[in-house]
Amino acid sequence: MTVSNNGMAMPALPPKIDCSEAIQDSPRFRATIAQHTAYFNRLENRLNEMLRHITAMIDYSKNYVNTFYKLTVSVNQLCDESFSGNPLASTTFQGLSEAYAHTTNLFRTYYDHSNVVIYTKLSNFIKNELTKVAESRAHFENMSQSMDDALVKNAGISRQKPADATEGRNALTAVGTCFAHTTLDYVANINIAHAHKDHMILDALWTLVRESSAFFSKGHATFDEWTAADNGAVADTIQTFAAKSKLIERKMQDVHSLVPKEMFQHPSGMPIEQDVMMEGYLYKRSSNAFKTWNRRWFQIKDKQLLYSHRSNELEPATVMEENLRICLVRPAPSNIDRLGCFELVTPTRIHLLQADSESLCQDWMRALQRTILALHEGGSSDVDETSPRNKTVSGSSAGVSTANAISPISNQLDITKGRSVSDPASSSGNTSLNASSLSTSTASSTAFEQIRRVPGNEVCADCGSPAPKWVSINLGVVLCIECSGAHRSLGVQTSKVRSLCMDSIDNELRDVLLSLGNRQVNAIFLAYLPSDDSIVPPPINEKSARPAREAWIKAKYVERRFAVSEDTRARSTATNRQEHLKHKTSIGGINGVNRSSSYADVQEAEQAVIDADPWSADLSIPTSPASKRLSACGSDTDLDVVGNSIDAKTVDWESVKEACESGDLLALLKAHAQGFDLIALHNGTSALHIAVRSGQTAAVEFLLLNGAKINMLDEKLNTPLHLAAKEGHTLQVCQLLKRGADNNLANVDSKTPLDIAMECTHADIVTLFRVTIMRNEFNADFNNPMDDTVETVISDIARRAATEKEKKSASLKETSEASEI
Amino acid sequence: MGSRDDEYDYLFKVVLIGDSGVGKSNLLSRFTRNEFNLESKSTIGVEFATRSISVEGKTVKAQIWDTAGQERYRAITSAYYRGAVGALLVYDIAKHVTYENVERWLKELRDHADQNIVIMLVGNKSDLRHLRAVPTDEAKIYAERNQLSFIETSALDSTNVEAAFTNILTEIYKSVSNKHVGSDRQGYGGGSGTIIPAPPTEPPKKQCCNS
Repeated sequence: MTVSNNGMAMPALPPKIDCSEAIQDSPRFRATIAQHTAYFNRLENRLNEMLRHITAMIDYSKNYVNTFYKLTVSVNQLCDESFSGNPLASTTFQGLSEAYAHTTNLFRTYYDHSNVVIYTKLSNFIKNELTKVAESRAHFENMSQSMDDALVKNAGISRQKPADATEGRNALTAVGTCFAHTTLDYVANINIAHAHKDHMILDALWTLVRESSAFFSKGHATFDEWTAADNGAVADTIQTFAAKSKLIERKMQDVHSLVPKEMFQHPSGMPIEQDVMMEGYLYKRSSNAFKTWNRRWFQIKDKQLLYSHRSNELEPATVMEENLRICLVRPAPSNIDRLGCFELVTPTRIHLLQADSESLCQDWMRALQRTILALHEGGSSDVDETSPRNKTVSGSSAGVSTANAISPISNQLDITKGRSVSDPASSSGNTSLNASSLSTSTASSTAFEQIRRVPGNEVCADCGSPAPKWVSINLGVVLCIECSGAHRSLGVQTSKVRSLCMDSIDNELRDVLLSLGNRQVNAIFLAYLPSDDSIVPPPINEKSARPAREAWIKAKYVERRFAVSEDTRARSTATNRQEHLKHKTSIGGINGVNRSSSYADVQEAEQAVIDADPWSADLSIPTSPASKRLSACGSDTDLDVVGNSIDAKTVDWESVKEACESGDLLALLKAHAQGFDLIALHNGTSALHIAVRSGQTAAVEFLLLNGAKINMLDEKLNTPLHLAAKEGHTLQVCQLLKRGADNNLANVDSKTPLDIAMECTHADIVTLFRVTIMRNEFNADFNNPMDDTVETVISDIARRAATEKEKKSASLKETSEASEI
Repeated sequence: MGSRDDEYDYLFKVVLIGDSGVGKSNLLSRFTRNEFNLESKSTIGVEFATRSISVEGKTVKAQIWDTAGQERYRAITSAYYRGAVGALLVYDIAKHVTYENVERWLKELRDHADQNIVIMLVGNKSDLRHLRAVPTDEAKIYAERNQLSFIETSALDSTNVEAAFTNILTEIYKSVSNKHVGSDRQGYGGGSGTIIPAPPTEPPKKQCCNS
């Protein structure tokens, strides 16, 4: 099909078709037809092009709407992530995101509708009208061909065959008629199409305008509404923030004035944490062969010196020194060729540290000295008037100048303090002096203070003297210095005495002391204290002489005279008068020995002491009546059974086992006090084995302190270490190794704890065993180069294991709470 | 360890790191015991071995920490790297991915080890010529760019194992002895030499016992 007049300017509309000429099928008709065909082709092409554009628009708008929607989602996320802490901003965000959502919806309906409508209308026009024209044209072409054939046939008929001629004419007439009709149909369709195209195309185009108009007026209404609701709030907010930012800009211009005139001369700024005395960067010389100097962030916190890396993640600080009290600060020896160096000397090693300047070095040394001094004076980390924090930071005008001067002073102070405890008259003066400063002390979590807060620990467990500073770690009682002497005289198999403030108390020991305490331990050891006045030996008070103390303490802890009932004791002492009752003792449960109402009184008195601040309790005691003091320490003659629930029953293996599994130290101590042998094998295993297997740190520690053998074998020749390795109790492995457990013993299957840990692929435990073995291979008892490594590995792994355990128990708690809901 | 090992001038801690299965444990056993095991199991946690060699007339004792390459068998401690003065970063020349991971191990060293640590890149299993996936030159250039020493070894046929350890120990020795001219016996941890063993004050415990 060729387009006529190709390339030439065409009339906008082809001329009208004359019907008579159409019937004649004249050349003029044919030319006109050709013009019309070309016209419709052009029209169709143009319309198709428009449809393509519209299709593209549909796609684009779909994309646009989707993207707009995504933008709205991002706006909401931005608000949640970065502005949730700012109420004003997030409210504004909400308003704006609402407007965004409205806009999205408007766009969606508009595009969905308008494009589709115009597309449908145009494509319908093409389909219905133009197709019809094309079809009738094809029909016309066919008929024209038939007509030509008929004419040729007719023209070729011979004169000799008149019949044929007649037939031919008839046929020609028929074909001719048909052709005429077809032609007219075709012409009709062309004309109809011409007529339709005008209004249909215009209508289609108009829909788009209509839809757009509706969209904009709807949008207008929507935003009118939104603006009314907003009422200028967004603009105001933006203005507020702009004003704020200007203020901040101005402030930030001044920020440089914060840079101290003399950098690295003095500590800049107060530590943020309450209990940190001083903090800042120091270089520390590493102890490896390179002697690399590493810059670390150091803190003097409580009685510890901590350091940490400067890193993106806030990691727990490493403890450089656990207890500064036993350390010494001094300038670095002259052979260190660096400025601003000083040494922190501990009983086992020397840390070499370097400050950024000589004066900063002095500040650090002074801060450390003051901390050490304060620890000596206070016996704890209390912040008193000579607090390093107050002075060092303020520029340290009246500092102690040389480090070496510190030691003698602190020792002297310690001695006077020791005396003051034994002398009530001077102690009252001392303590009241402390009282004013103590009120400012913050809640510290040092082991010492935690232990002091355990009920009953505010006075000596045996004589009732205030502010006891000694502790029997295996019995879990806090003692005054006099009674601690008497305890020592009993020998370590009965009582292991330590200083609460001078000896370091590790986490395991702390757990033991926190679960025992004077009140509960006395309830066990004085459970059957006779009610009459004729107690033999007589109970002691803070003024008792040494022999009286020794007699009472011996009766209480060695003979355990008041821990079991009179009857039982009579029976058992008949067989064995000595301290160790080696067989299972059944306690005759005669429970009702002269109950009096005094139990309530005692509790009340104790409660009064506990409720008050433990420190002020210290002060109130010397002035209160002696009887109260006595009852608080448990030696009141009327004291009866306090919280004693199992004395009626026989202490049997099952209950001890249960106590080990649940970590019930009081039950264990009670069994011990009543003569149960906690050390021996029972049914092929021991209390220590069970406590280890159950992962009960405090119970393990308690048993070890009370004579359990750390390498004890059960019936399968397993040491406690075997069981800890098997169960994967990393903390118990650390604990046992720290206490010197042998990891080289093979059990009945000839497996060492290491073999078991390997089988169970406990990487941490394997590592612990291997470093310990490595150290032993050095076979150097003194100054073993591996000591430090082993210590670090154990403490590193123990710390992480403890954190893991805490996390686990916390999440367990959470899930159990969740399941309750 | 025999008594021969108890005498040493220097004690150096060297760590073996690298992906699982590159042959760290076999390098160690080849160097310290002249043993090789084709079917060795995964290392769990850490394994140790020591061997003393002579460097410039001094006895250098290498304490080698062979660490687990597999993540789940590694202990949760950064003590692996503490005090280490040398690191052999091992990859398998027949497994390209182990070479790709060298970057990750270097980062681990940078994060946890001493900044002066001497690092040697070790392409192990050089006997697997027909399976080579990491060209020697590529690794060499990489090592140079990152200032690492480089060597290819085979724990199976012993090629270069001795050389690898000797080279790194010599390099450490030089690095350490340059810094501390004249000081004797170097150790780490509480080793003698720089640490004065006598405690500065009497331990307080003893004081209490007198009371």
